[in-house]
Amino acid sequence: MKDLELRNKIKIQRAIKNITQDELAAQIGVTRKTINTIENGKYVPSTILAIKMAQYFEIKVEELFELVEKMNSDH
Amino acid sequence: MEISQIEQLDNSRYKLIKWLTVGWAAWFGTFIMKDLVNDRLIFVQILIGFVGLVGFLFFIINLQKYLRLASKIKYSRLNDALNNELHQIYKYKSFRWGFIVNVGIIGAFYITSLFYQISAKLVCEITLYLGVLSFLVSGLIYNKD
Repeated sequence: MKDLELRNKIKIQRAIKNITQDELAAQIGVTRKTINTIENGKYVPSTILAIKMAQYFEIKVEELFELVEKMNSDH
Repeated sequence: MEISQIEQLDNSRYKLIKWLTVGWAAWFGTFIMKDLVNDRLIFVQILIGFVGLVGFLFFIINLQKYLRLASKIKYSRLNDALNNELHQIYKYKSFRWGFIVNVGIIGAFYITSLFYQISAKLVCEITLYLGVLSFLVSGLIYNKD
């Protein structure tokens, strides 16, 4: 089975909308820590939260989050 | 306005848990230590008693503040934001650490009891102390910015 990782474009979308993590957190109804951990890939959000974020940025969930193959360090 | 309110409440909660942990560590730690130190070492007994009292006050004051903050936000619209899914996961992980530590301590005491006689009171105190402490400390580590 392939090793997959979830990447996101939250930072880019935030830059487009010109909002801070704090402002996004308030819009979505979570804390800034939650946005920060998702943005840095430390935490994989629930489907509900992912949809909420995509709706806020007015894009599809697949555009905000994508599954990519993990880069192998031994190659 | 709302942005800073969520952030402020989150920071307040973190600080309260931090001082709650310090209070618990000092109060209950010295409570256990008191039984282990020789009664004739009066200065050490007084010092332990003082640290324990300060720790107890810290613990009680911050516990009361924490409960007041929790009840204040319970019916607020900010409750969902503050207790969001990441917070729930961190809480679950912290409980897991508390459980693992407790099982480890009980296991260690069990092995020790095969060779030495240990007071049941001391076993309960140390298990309670380290179980709660590991839960609080891991919660602080997970929630650290």
